[in-house]
Amino acid sequence: MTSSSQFKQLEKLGNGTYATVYKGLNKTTGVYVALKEVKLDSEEGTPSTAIREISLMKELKHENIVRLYDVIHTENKLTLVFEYMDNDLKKYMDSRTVGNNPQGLELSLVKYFHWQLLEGVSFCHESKILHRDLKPQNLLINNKGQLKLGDFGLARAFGIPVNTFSSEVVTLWYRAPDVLMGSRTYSTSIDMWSCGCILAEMITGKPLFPGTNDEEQLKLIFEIMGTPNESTWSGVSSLPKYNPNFSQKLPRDLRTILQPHTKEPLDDNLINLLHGLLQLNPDMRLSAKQALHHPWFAEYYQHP
Amino acid sequence: MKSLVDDYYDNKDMCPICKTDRYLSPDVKFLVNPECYHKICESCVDRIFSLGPAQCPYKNCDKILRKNKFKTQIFDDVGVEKEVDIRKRVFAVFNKKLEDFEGSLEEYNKYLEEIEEIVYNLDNGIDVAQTEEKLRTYEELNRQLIMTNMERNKQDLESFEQRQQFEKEMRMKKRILVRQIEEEERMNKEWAKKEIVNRLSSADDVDDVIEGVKNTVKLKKSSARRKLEELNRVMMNNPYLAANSGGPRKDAVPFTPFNGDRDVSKRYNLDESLYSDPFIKDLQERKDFIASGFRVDYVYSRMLTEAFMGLGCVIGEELQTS
Amino acid sequence: MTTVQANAVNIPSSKKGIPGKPPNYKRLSDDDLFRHSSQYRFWSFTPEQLEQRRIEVNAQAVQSIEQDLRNFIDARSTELNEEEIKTIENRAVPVNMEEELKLVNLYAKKVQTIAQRLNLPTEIVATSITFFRRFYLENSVMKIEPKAIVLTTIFLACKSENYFIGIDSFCEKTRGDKEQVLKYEFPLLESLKFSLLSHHPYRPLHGFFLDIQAVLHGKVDLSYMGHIYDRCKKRITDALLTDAVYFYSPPQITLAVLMLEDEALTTRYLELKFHGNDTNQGNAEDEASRGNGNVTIQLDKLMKIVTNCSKLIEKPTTVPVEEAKSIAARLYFCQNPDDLLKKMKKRKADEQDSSVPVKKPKTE
Repeated sequence: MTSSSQFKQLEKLGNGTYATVYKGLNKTTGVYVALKEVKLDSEEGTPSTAIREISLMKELKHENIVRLYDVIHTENKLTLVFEYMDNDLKKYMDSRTVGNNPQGLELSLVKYFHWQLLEGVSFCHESKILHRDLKPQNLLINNKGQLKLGDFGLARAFGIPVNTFSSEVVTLWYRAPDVLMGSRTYSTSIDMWSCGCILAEMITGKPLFPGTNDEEQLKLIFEIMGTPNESTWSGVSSLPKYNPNFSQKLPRDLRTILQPHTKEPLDDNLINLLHGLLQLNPDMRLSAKQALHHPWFAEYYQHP
Repeated sequence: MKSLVDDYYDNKDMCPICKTDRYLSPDVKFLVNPECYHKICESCVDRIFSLGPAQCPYKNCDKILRKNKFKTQIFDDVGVEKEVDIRKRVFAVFNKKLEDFEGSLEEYNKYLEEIEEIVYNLDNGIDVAQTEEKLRTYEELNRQLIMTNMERNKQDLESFEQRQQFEKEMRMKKRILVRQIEEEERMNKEWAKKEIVNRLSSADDVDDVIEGVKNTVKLKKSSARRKLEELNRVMMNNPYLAANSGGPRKDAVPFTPFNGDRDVSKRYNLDESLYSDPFIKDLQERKDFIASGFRVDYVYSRMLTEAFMGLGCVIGEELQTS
Repeated sequence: MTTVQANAVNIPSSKKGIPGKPPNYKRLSDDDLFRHSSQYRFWSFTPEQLEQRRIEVNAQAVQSIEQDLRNFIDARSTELNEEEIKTIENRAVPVNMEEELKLVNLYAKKVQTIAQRLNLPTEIVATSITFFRRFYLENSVMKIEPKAIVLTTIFLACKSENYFIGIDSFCEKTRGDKEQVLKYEFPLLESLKFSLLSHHPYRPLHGFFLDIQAVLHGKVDLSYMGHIYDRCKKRITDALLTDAVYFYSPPQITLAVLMLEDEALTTRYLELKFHGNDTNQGNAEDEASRGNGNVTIQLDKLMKIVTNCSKLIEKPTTVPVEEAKSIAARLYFCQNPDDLLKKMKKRKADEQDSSVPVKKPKTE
């Protein structure tokens, strides 16, 4: 067991879902770490979010998932020692804003980041774990171009078949339409929607669906992806928050929406992948594995 | 192939010309020339043929060899090596496919037979001059066709990915339609039930009423069903899919950062029709589950995967060493 | 914020073109997936390793208990008479490894009973039992008494399985002490090495239930299958109270349970499923295939594993109440030699006071 005196606490890096994160230095090895401090003054003992994160991170050893090195206990707090990453995708994109204009990333970088994101998500899903809070802030990057999933505070293992989950998951902008309409039996497809939103955001530098509340969020989604009905999405009208009076919109071409915000031409494969991820009907959405096999990534493929 | 090589020199690891042998010079490399397939070491080839074509240095061999035709022997057996070379050469010229015979399997088989005869003759030294002439004539006469076929074979390979994409879209569409049909059928059933009750209250012959309602339902053949039938017809007639029926190509292995990908082979065959699982069948019917992307095959495959996950781990043995 | 600089992100050159094949590229089999789990990495042992572990845990505790007792006697050497010292030496004897195990088994059963009485889902009952038993692979009952940990394991199991019960309502239902439950939460987490995700044999049971239907299609009665499914579920929970969980993977335990429930059916299924895969197909191939995660199961090898596992599961782990009580009493006196002496004095006084012997205190 490592003791807390082994780490020197440096500057604050940010706030996680249930904790404060500091940069730290391992005094014996000279390696930087991220220290996530969880206050224990709660009535309920160790917060279940922390328990969840610890338990899941213990099972996930993958190049595209941040590593949990250790857990340290001091009288009134719990410190999770994570692998240190230089930056997160949100801050990195913010740092590239010119004046008031957000800039997209180069497409080669978008592809490399997205590939790694999908690898990490695929591994989680393979291990029967949903992340449930994918967003640029939770994608950590370093200057080698590596991208890793972080903050598993909302993640959970999924069993089958009838777990009903909370629909209060995923930051609004990245929340799937089925969840917005109150589905509580969602599965891996919830993370895939977020991946689609993140992909579009990396291209343009702007969030694709920046809603301020549930209704507006759905409205923004339907304006671009079209309003679903029973024939495009079987069973949609039985979702708790489905409204037969949703204003009827036709799906629009994503290329015409995204192209004006980026200098590089968007090819058919990329647009096709976006459409595959941003399917309203969760049953139609690409899985992480399928997305990794999408032709847009053809250049990463090798032949046996 | 004994006849080609002088018995005295039939030593796998020694050059019969300069007597360099692998035991003393492990780097020695042997080459053969498809004219006679006599094995000669690389430095002898350099020495003898650098100045131009020359006669094979083997006793009793009068073939004139060129340096640029020498190659590394791939198969240990010279006979196999020779046959493979011949096949390569012949197939490059005779490159038609089944579809070039307008579906006539008989014609195609005749064509293949012809190829085999040419290969056999060349390989075994039967009527060599005559057979070579035949090959040359065919090439001469069909030059244009051969080029076109070569181009086509290349394209076939490229269109593979497009084809897969197309198939996937078709499958997606099909699934939507099937869902729609199921939905409509459920509604029809409900309608029929209500309708029967309604009509019964004002009619006298029970059987007549039920029959009448049932007929109406039958007539209500849904548009989704018609679309599905249309789609099936398109898929049947599609050349893309017909060409693919020969079996799927091996998928490319993607690069993965954690040095591995999931094993594609499974210890089970998923066959929904064989399972009776009342609990899951019930869920399958629930609309809110369907809307949330609930897929019964995912559930089954998850359960089955877990049934075999670790079945082959012999903990007692595996942990013995650690 | 010093880290929020616009530092350039460099893509490794290999990613710009076609990346090379990783040097030790390997396909992950279903078995490898299990080998990745913390259950395999931290909580799977050979019988020898498990015994060694228990011996060590016990020896350490014995040493410190004996030290404590010596200190107790030394500190009061003037007050204690010979008889009292003798009593301590005879009655406050640390429990040995086998006795510890008996106590753990007894309380593990108690964990099961309480968790089931709370109407928790089967998987959470299973996780509670698992947590409890793992805790005593790291700790001795002489250091932390089982009674104290029982409720904490259930409470933590609920938390880690997303079945949240507030501490107040939990304590109300279990008549537990809030402070006590929370006090041991971190020691428990730490002893579990923070690995909280367990694979139980219930889902494999569901999988085999499906696969048996497919392999023996038309040859099994479905209502009969439903019947044995329920009974197997109960048997699995019982199996979690045995050491089988440390020596075998969840599917192996499932098959062992199925074997105990219906040997003929299970044997038939396995034979149909894996026939033709036996060991004499060549060892070289076997070696080679292990590396690339092959899917072949050797029937004879599997049958041996399953048979051995069922034998272990069948062995009862229940402990006679009287025996457990006497172990618990010794444990108590080791930790509280003072009380032992008081008790001795009281009994003596009782004997002297009345000629009619009162009911004997039940400490034997």
